[in-house]
Amino acid sequence: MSSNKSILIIGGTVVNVSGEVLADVMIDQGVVQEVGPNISAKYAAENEGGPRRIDATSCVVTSAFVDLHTHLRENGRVESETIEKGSRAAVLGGYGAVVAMPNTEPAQDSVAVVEFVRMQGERAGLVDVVPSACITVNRAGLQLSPFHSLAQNGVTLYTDDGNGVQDPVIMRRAMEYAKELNITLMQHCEVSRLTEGAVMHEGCCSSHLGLPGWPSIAEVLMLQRDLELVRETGAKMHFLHLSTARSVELVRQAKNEGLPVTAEVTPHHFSLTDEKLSGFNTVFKVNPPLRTMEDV
Amino acid sequence: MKHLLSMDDLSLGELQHLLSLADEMSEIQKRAQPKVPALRNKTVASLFFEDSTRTRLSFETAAKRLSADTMTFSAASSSVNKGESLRDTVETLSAMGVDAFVVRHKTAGLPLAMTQWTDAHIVNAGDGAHQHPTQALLDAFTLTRALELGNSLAGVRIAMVGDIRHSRVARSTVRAFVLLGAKVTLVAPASLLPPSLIYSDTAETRHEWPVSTSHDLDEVLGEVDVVYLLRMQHERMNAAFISSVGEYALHFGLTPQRLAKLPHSFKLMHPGPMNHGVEIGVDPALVPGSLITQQVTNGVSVRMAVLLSLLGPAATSEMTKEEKNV
Ligand SMILES: [Zn+2]
Ligand SMILES: [Zn+2]
Repeated sequence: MSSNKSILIIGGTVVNVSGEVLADVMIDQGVVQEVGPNISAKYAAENEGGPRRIDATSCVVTSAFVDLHTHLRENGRVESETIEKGSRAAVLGGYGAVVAMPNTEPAQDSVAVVEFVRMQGERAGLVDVVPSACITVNRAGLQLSPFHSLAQNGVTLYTDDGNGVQDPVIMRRAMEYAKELNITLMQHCEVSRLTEGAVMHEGCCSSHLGLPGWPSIAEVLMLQRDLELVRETGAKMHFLHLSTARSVELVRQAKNEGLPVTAEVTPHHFSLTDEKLSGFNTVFKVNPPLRTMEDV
Repeated sequence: MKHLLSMDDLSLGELQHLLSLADEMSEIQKRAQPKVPALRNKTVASLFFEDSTRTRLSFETAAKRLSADTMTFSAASSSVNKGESLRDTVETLSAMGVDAFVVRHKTAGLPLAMTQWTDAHIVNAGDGAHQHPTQALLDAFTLTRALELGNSLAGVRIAMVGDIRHSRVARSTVRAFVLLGAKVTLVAPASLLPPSLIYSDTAETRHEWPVSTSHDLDEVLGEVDVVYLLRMQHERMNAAFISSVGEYALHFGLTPQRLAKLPHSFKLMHPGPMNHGVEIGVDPALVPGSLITQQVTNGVSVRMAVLLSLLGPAATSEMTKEEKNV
C-alpha cells in the first residue's frame, strides 16, 4: 500500500495521542516525517516536482484504526459479506487492519481455512485481514482446536464468538494451551442454558411484551468463571462486547488485581437501552441485547 | 379506532364503549334470527398460524352474525409452507379485498408489523405471550355483567392464578380489570411471574403491573371475590419453571378443599381450554359461581362489538369525513 512518492496532507484536524490540532502531515516512503501547522509552505508545488498534495480541510487525519471484531462471512455466507467487500468497507471507514472472526463455514478451526482467509485478504489488498481461529472445532464447544498448528502459523487470537465456551473443562484446557503458547482467548460471555429462546434483555420491557428474556446474569456468570480460570492459569483473555454494568465492574477489579485481561464495549451498548424494542423494532435486536439505563 | 392490537391502546372510555356495544350485540344474539346486515359487503379474513379452533370460530361466528363475508386462512395448507414470507401472504390476501384481518401467531408483535403491510384493519387474536385483547374484553364483559356493576369493577378483588409469565391472557385481562377499578393479585410461584416483578421492583415495573403478588393461594382465597385460573402447560417442566404438574396442582390448583373455603358468592373464571386435574381439580359445572361457559358465549358478542366498531357504519362515515378534509 505504501507509495514511493511522498504525500502532503493539508489543512486537516490531526488526532493523535496528544490531542487534536489543525496541522499538515508530510509522509515519505510510507512513513510520517513531520506533523505541524502550515508546514506545506516548505515544500515545492505538486507540478514542480513536490509531494502529492491532498486537501483535508474539514477532515479528521489520524492513524488507521484496528477493528478487533469483523464478521467477513467468507466462506459460508458470501451473500452477506465477502472478504473483499469487507475490506472495502474497512478502508473507507479508516481502518488499516481487521480481525476476521471465525464464524465461517467451514469455521476457522484449521490451518487451511485460516490461510484461505489470510490469502483472500491479501488478494483484496486494501487492509490487513488478520484471521482469528476457533477455540473449539466448528465452534461446537466439544473438541479443542489444533492450537499448536494454528499458533505455528501465526494465529494469536482465538474465539468461538457467537457461542460462549460452556464446558468448564474445555475452557480450562484451552487456557492451559493459551498460557503455554502465549496466545489470547476471546470469550463471548453467555451461559446458553440461561438464554434459550431469548430475544431481548430480561427486564421490564420483555415482561411487558411477553418476550423470552436474556438475563444479565447469563453474561456475568461466564465472565466470573473465566476470571477465576485466568487467575488460576495465567492465560491472556479478552472479553467480547460486554453489556452489563456488573461485567465492567468485574473486569475493572480483575485489571486492578493485575490479571491479564482486556474487554470491549460497543457504542450501542453504552448508548441505547431495551426501551428501543418496545415497538418490536428488530433493528435494535442485537446479541448481546441492549440493556437498561443502569447499564449504559 | 383503526386496529385492536393491545389492551394498552384502549382508554377507559373506549373500553366502556365496547362493553356497552357488546350488550347490544348480545341482545341480537338472543333473537330468533341472530343476524343483522351491519357489515354486509365487508370481508373479514382470519389468519390463524397457531391452532385455536375455538377462538377462530368465535370470530367467524361474530363476523357472520354481522353479515360480513369470511375468509379462512389455514397456515397448514398454505404457501407459507412453500417458503412464502408472511408479508407476501398478507399483501396477496389484501389484494383480494380484505377489510379486516383477525390474526393469531406465535410471534409477539406480528399484528403490529402487519399494520405496515396492509390498509386493512387488524385485530390481534393472540400474539405470542404478548396480548390477546378480545379475551380481555370478554372477561371484563362477563365479570361486570355477572356482578351487575355496569361498566365498572370498582373495589372487586380478583386473584389471577397460574403461569402469568407466559400468558398473553394475563397481560391483556389484568389491564382491563385494573382499568375498570379492580384490585388484582397475581398468585404463582416466583418462576411463573413476569421476571420484572421478581427482579426489578422499580416504579416502572409497578406502573406496568399495578397489582399485588402472592405465592400462597390458600392465604389469598379468603380475601377475594373472583378467582381467575390460567392454563398450566405441561412443557413448563422442561425449563424448570415447575417441579412437576402434580406439585403445581397441589399448591396452585383449585382443589375441592380450596373450593370449600370460598364464599358462595365467589366467581370462577378460566380462559380455556382447561387442564382438568391441574389448575382445576373440581368440576366447573358444579361450581355455582362459575362463569366459564358465559365467557365463551360472551366471546361472540364482544367480537361482534369489536368488528362493528372497526368496520361499521360509524367508522366508515368518520373515515369519509377525514378524507374530505384532506
Ligand atoms: Zn461477533
Ligand atoms: Zn459475540
